Amino acid sequence: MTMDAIDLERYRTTVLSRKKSFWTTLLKQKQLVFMSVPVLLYIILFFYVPTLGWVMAFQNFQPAKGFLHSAWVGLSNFRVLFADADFYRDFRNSICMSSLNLVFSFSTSIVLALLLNEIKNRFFKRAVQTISYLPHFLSWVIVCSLVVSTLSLDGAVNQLLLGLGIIQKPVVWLGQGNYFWGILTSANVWKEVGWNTIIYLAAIAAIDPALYEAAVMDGASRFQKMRYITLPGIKTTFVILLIMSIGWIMQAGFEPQYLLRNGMNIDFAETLDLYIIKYGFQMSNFSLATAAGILMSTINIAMLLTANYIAKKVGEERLI
Amino acid sequence: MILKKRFVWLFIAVLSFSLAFSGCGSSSDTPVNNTTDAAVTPASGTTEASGQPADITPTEISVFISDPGQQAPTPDNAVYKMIQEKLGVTFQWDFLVGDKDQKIGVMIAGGDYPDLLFVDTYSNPKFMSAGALIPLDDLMKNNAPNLYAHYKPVWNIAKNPEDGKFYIMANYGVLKGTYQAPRWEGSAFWIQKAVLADAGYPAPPKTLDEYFSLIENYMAKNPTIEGQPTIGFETLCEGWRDFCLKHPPEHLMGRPNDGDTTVVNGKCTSFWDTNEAKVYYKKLNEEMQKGIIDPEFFSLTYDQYIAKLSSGAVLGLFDQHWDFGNNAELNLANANKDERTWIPCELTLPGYKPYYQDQPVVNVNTGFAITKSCKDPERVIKLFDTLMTEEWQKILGWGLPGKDYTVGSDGKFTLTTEQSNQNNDTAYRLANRAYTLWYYGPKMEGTYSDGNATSPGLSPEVFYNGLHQYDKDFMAKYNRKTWAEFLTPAPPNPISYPLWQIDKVAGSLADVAWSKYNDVGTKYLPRLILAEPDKFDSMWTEYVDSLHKIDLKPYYDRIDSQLQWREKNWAPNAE
Repeated sequence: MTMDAIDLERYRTTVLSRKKSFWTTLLKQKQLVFMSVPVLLYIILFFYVPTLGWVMAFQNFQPAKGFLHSAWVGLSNFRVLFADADFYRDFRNSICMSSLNLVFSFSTSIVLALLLNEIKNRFFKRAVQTISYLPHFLSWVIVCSLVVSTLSLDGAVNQLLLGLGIIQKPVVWLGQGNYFWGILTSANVWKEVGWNTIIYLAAIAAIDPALYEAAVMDGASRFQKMRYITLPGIKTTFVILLIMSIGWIMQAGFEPQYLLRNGMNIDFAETLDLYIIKYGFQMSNFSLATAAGILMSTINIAMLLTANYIAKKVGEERLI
Repeated sequence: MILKKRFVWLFIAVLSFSLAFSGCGSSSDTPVNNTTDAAVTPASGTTEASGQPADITPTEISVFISDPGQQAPTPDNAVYKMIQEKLGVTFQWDFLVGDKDQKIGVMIAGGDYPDLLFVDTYSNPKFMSAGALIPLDDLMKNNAPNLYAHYKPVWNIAKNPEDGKFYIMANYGVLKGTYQAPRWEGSAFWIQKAVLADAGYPAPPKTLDEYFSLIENYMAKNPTIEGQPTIGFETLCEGWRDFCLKHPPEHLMGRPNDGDTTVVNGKCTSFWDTNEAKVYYKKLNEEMQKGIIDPEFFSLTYDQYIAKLSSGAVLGLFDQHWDFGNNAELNLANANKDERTWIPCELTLPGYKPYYQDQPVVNVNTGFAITKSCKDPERVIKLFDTLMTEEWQKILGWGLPGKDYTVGSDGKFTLTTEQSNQNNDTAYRLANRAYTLWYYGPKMEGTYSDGNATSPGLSPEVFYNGLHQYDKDFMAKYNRKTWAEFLTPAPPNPISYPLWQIDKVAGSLADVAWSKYNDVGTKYLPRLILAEPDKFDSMWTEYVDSLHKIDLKPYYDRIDSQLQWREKNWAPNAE
C-alpha cells in the first residue's frame, strides 16, 4: 500500500468510528433525547414560528387579506419609522430607563445581598429578606397606584419634604418629565430588589466556608472578607446575569410607564413598547408595529453578542 | 359596599342555580293555558294592523344576547307568559358567558346561529363578513307594516352603507311623538347645586366669567367641604375620556357634541387651534393661578376622578352626564347629599348661541338581526310587528296596568313608590317584566298617541315623583320640573350629525394623522393650563404651530366624504 492508501484507510476508520460513536451515544442517551423533544418543539413553535410574522413589516398588512394577499411595500415601514420624531424620543426613553434600571437594580441587590450575608441573627435576616422580596409579587397596577398616591400633592413624599422644610410648596412629581426616570427607577428598585437578591444569596451560600476560616486565621477583617472572598465568589453569577439583562436592554418595560404616564411627562415616559402598542393594537397598523419590533429585537441581539464578546475578551464567564 | 357586592354575587349564584334546575323541567311542566291576571286585557294577537288573523301555533325563538351579566327571566314571568298565550311564541334565551370574541368565533366557525342575534357595532362586522344575517327589506315590507312604519323615517340611516340593505333593527333612537328625557345625559359645564343655593338661586351662569365667579365666591366662603379641601373645577384627560379636557371649546362656540372636530359650513373643521379655544384655556390658566382648578387634574385616572367627585368637594366640571351620573352622582344622592350634585350649564362665548342638548341619534348597527339559521323568518318578523303596536309597547315598556303602573283618572301613567322600587328591582323585573326583550328589541321612544311617555324613564311625572325633596325644592326655585329644562331644547339634528360616529378606519392614514394631532393636545393642554401666566401666549403659539405641522388632510378627506355620503343618503325618505 502506498502512503495515500494508508492515509485514506486511516481517514475512513476514524470518520466511521466517530460517526458510529455519535449514533451510539445518541442511542445510549435516548431517554434524554426524548425528554428534550417537547422543549425543543415548544421553542420552535413559540419562538421561531412566530418570527414568520416578520414579513408583516415589509407589507401593508391587512388582517382580512392575510400574509399571502397583503401588498408588499419593501422598506417603506422602516422609512416611516426613521422619519418619526416620536420613534427617536421613545428609543431614547427606552435605552435610558433600561440602563438606569440595570445599574441601580444590580448595585442595590448586590449591596443588599452583602449586608444580609453579614447578619448573624437568623430571624432578623429572614424577616428583612421576606419583607424586601414581597413587593415582587405585587402587580404593577398596584405598585403604580401606590406610587401615584405617595407622590400626590397631599401624599407622603410631599408631606415629609414640607415637614422637613426642604420644599416650600408641594411638588407635582408626576407633572414634570425630568423626574420621571428617577421615579420609575426607584419604583423598580423597591419592587425588585429583594427578589434579585435571592440569587446572589444563593451564590454566596455556595462559597466554601473554608475560605472564610482561612481568611480569619490570616487576620482578615469583615470588610476584607467581603472584598476578597464574597465579591469574587459571586462575580460569575453577576456577569452571567448582566449579559442576560443586556439582551433585554430595549425592553424598558411597559406596565409602569403605561400606568404612570400623562400628558405632562409623556416626553420622558413613552417607551418603544408603548409605541408598538399604540400603532399595533390601538390603530391596527400591524406593519409599522412589527417593523419597530424587529428593530428592537435586532438591537437586543447585537447588545447581547457584544456583551458576551467583551466578557470573553476580559476572561470572564460567558453565556454563549 | 364590598359586602353588598358579595351579597349580589351570592344572589346571582343562587338564582342561576335555581334557574338552571327549574329550566330543566319547565318546558313540559308549564301548562300552556294558564289563567292570567284578570286585569290584563289590552293586547291580543289578532289585532294586527294588517287585519289578517295572526298565526299563534306554538313556536320557540332562540335568541343570543352578546352582553355579559344578563339573566334569563323566570319561567312563569307574567309578560312572557302573555306573549306565549296570545302570540304562541316562547323565547329560548342564551346570554353571553365567558369571552365574547370566542363565543362569536365559535358560532361563526360552526355556521350555527340562533334565530335571533343581538348585534352591536363591535360584532356587526364579524357577523356581516360571515354572511350570518339575512336582509329584512322585503320581509319587513311584505309582512310587518307596523315595524316598517317604525323604521321607515330612519331607513337610510339604519341600513348597511356597504350594500344598502336593512339587517339590524336598531334598539334605540327611533323617536315617536315628543321625546323629552328628564335628564340631559350629554355634555355640559356642571355646577354644584349648593353654589347656586348659596348665591341665592341666581339664573344659571351663561358665560365662563359668570360660571367661575360663582365658583370663586363659594370657594372663598367654603375652603373645605366636610373636611375635604374644596376643588373649584375638575377635569380629566385620561385615555378616551379626555373629551372632558378637549371638547369644551366646541360647545363654547355654539356647536353640539360632534366629537373631536366639528362641522363648519358642511366641512369637518378642527376647533383646537381657534381663538375661542385659546380664550377657554387662558381662562383655565387664570383660574389655576387662583387655585380654583385641581392642580393634579392631568394625572388623574378615571377612578380617582370619580372618587374626587363622589367626595362632594368638587364645585364645577365639564363632562358628559353618563360619565359620572351612575357612580359619583348616584353615590352622593344615595348619601342624601343632593346639594353636592350638579346641574348642567350651557356656557358660550360672546356671540354664540348655546347648543348643548341634541336629539337622540339612531343607534346604528345595534339591535336584533335575524340569522340565516332561522327556519321561519316571517314568523319572527311578524312577532316584532305585533310587538310594535302601542298595546304591546306599553306592556313591554311599562308592564301590566294596575300591577306595574297606575293609570290616573286623567289617563296619565304614574308609578306608586312601591311600583317605582319594583321598576328598579332586577329580581322583580325577571319575574314580571319582559325587560330584556324591551331593552334589546325595537321600541318606540317618546310618547304614545295618548300622550303618555313610552316608558317610565321618559315620563316627566314619574321622574319628578321619584326626586328627593331637596331636588324638588331646588327646581321650584327655578320653576322647573326636569333637569333637562335647564338647557335649551334640542333643535332637529343636522342630517349628517353626529360626526363622532364616523369610523376613521383603524390603521388608516386618517387614523394615524388624527392620533398624532390628538397626542399634541394631550401633551400641550395640561401644560398650557399649568403654565406661568406670562408664558401662556408663547406656549399657545408653540402649541398651534405643533398642531399645524401635522398633515390632517387624510383625516379631513375621510370625514368629509362620509359627511357627504350621509347628506345624500340620510335625508328623510331619500330612498
